[in-house]
Amino acid sequence: MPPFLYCEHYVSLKGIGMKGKPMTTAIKAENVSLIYNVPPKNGVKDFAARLIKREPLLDKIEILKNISFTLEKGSALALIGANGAGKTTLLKLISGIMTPTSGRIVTKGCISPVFAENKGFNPSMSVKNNVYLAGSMHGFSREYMKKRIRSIVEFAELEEHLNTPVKKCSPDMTSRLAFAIAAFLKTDIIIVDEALSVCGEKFCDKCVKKMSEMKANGTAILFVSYSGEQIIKLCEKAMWLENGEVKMTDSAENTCKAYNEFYESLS
Amino acid sequence: MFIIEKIENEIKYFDFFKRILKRGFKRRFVKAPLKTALTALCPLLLMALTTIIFSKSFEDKVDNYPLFFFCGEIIFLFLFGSAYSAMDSVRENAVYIKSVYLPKHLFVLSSVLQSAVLMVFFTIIILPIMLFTSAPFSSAMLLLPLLIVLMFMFAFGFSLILAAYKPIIKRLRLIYVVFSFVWLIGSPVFYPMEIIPEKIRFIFSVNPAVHYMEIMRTICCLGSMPSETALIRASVYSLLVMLLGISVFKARENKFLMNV
Repeated sequence: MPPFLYCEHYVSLKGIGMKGKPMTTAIKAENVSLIYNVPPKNGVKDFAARLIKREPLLDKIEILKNISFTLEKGSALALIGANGAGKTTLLKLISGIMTPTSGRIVTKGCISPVFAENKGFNPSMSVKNNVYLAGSMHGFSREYMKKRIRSIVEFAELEEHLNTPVKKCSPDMTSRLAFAIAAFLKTDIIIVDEALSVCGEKFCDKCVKKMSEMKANGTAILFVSYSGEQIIKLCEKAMWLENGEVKMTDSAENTCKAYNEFYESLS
Repeated sequence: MFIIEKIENEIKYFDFFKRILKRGFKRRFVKAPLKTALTALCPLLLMALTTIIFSKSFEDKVDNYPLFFFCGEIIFLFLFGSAYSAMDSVRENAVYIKSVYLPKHLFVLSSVLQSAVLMVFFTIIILPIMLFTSAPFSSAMLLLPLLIVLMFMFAFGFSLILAAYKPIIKRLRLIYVVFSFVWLIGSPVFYPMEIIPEKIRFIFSVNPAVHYMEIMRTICCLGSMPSETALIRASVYSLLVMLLGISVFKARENKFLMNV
């Protein structure tokens, strides 16, 4: 197959997997690995030295190592782990923002990611226009977003800030808006990566309740949070990532308990 | 099956593409009217200047020097300018591509399309120049849209290659400007190909701009149909560069995301 048509990471829109069979799973990851090739610290000097010694020119850093899991429709999986474990990177691979070095990820339907550090808003545009922009980035038309904008803004509690430029909104407001957009679009998979960490407790409870409703309607949820309570309330299973590897996959309660005990024993 | 789903996936982002195209047009043409006016006037002023300087030197080889130069100039400006502006198009929209999956080539396509609109504008300006210089009008002018499409395909492919390498080669813009000086001299923008010795003329035929200029000058200056060989050569160049650009961009897509 010509190189520009071949794609290791294949996003299936019609729910038909690579081998033509119908999919009941929303996400299937098989031996997913990601390796970064990093140039040497001293630039040209090191390059030349390595060339002479016939050593590899670039340093390889393994970010993710052989991650495999499946997520069924209408279920929720939590990702837990310390900073730098690879949670956000794995979520970026699943949402198609990046592609893995090896392995395969097959997803069914529209994916709506909500990342803490990058919400995809244009800071100079108003809240209203950013809602339309976000909708178009997910593949939805302006007419579709027009019908939903009221619900989105009411959920995010930003009715008075419809025409406020996003650069004048606080991180709490932008997180609320980002989640509300993802929650009210017709998505099959929602990914929430610590986006609720800056929001208040009341709004977080509202979000967990909304995600439970979405789960009941068949949406698959990938959830990253440092709040064990939220994870246990929302997710059936949890996956513990440590240094890019899966350390444990079990029920949310058991995994959170094991994770807490591990870090308590270290301190 | 795979290709159909890929095409459906692209159609899904048509609304987003319209949005970035509209924003690009506003930024380039509406919000900077003085810049737009200068961009429109510059080729005409250059044409006047080079006519004064070079028309006597090529009197025996070129009948209608203003039109001859203008045809070459607008093609070179389009090929150079589209890649120059598209190089940073992905990096400028990093905030979007880092938040959700988006086909990244849409940004490059939007940038090249904006340059193509300018090219269409200049192609329309050729008509009054032809009238003023008494150039022959013919049915061959119906091939001009085809030529624009071929140049667009080349510009798109070339822009994809540059956009794919720009995030890792920080000085690429400077390297491209230096390369463009050589490209300008190697393209028959202000001189006819007849002054190049026949022994080394084949080297110049590697430059795709030579073929596009040859077709445009045959249509506009001579008022006759371009040869089939010239059309085939131009089409092959356009298709090859476009496919190469798509291939390189797709292969590097994952690698440059870390640098954007």
